[in-house]
Amino acid sequence: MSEEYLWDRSGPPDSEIVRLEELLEPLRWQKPSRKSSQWRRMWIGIAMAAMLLVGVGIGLQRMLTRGPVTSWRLSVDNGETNAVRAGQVIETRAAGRATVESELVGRVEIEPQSRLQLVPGHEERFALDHGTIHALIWAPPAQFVVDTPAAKAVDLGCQYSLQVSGDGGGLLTVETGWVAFQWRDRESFIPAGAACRTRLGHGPGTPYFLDAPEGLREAVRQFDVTGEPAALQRVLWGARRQDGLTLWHLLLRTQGSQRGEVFDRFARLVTLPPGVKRMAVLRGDQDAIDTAWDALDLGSTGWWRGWKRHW
Amino acid sequence: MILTTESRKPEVALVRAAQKGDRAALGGLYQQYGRLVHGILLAYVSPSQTEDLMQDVFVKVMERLPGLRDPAAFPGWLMAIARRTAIDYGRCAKPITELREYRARGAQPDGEAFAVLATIQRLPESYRETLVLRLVEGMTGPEIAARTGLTPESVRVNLCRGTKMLRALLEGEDKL
Repeated sequence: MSEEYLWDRSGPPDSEIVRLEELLEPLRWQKPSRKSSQWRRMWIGIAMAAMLLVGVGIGLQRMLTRGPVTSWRLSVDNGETNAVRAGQVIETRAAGRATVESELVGRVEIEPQSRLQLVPGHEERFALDHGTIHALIWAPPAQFVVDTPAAKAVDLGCQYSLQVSGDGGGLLTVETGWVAFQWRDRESFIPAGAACRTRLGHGPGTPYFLDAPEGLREAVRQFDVTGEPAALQRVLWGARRQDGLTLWHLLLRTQGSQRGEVFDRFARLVTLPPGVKRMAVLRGDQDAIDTAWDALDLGSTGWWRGWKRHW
Repeated sequence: MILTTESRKPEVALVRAAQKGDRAALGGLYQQYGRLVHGILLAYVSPSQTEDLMQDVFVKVMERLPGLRDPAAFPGWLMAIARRTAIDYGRCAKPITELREYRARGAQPDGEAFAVLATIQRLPESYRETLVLRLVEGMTGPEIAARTGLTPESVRVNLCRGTKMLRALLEGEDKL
C-alpha cells in the first residue's frame, strides 16, 4: 500500500486505493448548484430555521420540510411566509402564533403551544395533536378534515375552533356553518353557536349551545362522562326548545327507558314532523331519528347525511 | 493545503456573519463544509438518508450558531452536531434497498460500493470518518486535517490503520 498516495495522492497510485476511490465516488456529495432542487430543499429548511430565530418571541418552534410543496402557505407574526410541505409539522411555542392558508381550502390560525401536521398525501387533512386552531374553510363541505386523538372534525362549510388538550380530549366550537365530529360509529353534528367535547377512547360527546344555562351544560358534560341518570334528568328538565339539538343527540346515546324519557321531553319541546313514531325511535330506527332532526329547524337531514357518506 | 489560523480568517468571518443571521454567509458555510458533513453522516447512516440529515444538521447549525462562543471552533462543533445527528438517527445500512433507490434517482453506484461502505461503517469511529472523507468524499489527508481540526499526524495514522482494517475486513468477506 502506498501511504503517500493514500495521504495526498502524491507518489505512485496505489491500485487498491484507486479502485476503492472509483467504486465509492458515486456516493460522494455533489456540491449543489444554486438552481438545483437539493439547494432549494436545503434553503427551505434553513429559511425555516432563520424564521425560527427571528421568531423566538413569535414562537414558531419546529417545522419539518421534506414532502412535496402543497397549496398551503405558512405565515408567522413577522410576516414571513413559506410553502407548507406534505407531512410538515408546525409547532408553536408559548408566545407564538402561525397561520396556514390555501386558496383552495381555507385559512387555519394556530394558537400558541400547538402541534399541527398536514397529513401526508392529503391536501385538505390536518392532524391536531395538541393546542388550538381556528379554521375558516371555503372548500366544498366535507372536504376539510382535522384529525384529533379522540375524534375527527369534518367541515361542513363553516368557521370553527378546535382545541385539543394534553390528554387527547378536545373541544369544538362552531361560529358559522356546521361541523361533524366523528369517532368510529359515534358522531355529533355541531351547528353555529354550539360546542361539543370529545374524549380519548370515547369519541364526541353531546353537543350543546353555548348560550344554554350553565347547569345544563354541566349536566351534559357529566352525563357524557358518567352516564348518571340524575345528570340526564337535569339535562332533560333544563333544556329549552333550542336545546332540542342536545336532546336529539341523546336519542342516539341512550337506550330503553332512558331513550323513552329523552324522546318524551324532546316531543314536548319541538313539533315533531309527521310520521315520527315513538316506538320507531325507541327501537333505534335511523330513518325515524333522522326525521326527528327536522323538528330542530336546523335544515333537513338529507344534506349532512349525503355528505357524511363520503367521509 | 493546510489551513492555518491566518488562512482560517475568512471562514471565521463567515461564521461570525452567519451568527448575525446573514443567510448568504450560512450558504457559504454550507458550500464549504457540505462535503465534510456529508462524509461524517455517511460514516454512520445509509446514503439515502444523508441528504435529509444534512438539512437537519444545517437547520441545527442555524438554530445554535448564535451560541457558539469561538467561531474558530466551528469545524469541530459542526462535526459534533453531524455525528450526533447521525447517531441519533440510528445506523442503518441496507445495500439492496440503497442500490434500488440510487438507481431510481439516476446515480449509478455499484452494489459493491454499498457493501464497502457498510464495511467501513464497522470500523472504529475515528477511522471510519477519516476513511469516508478520503475514499468517498475525495479529500486528501491535509484537507481532512484542515477541515476537521485534527492534526495531520492523527489523520495519517487514521488513514493507514483504517485502510489496513478495511482491507482485512474486505478480505475476510471475500473468503466467506
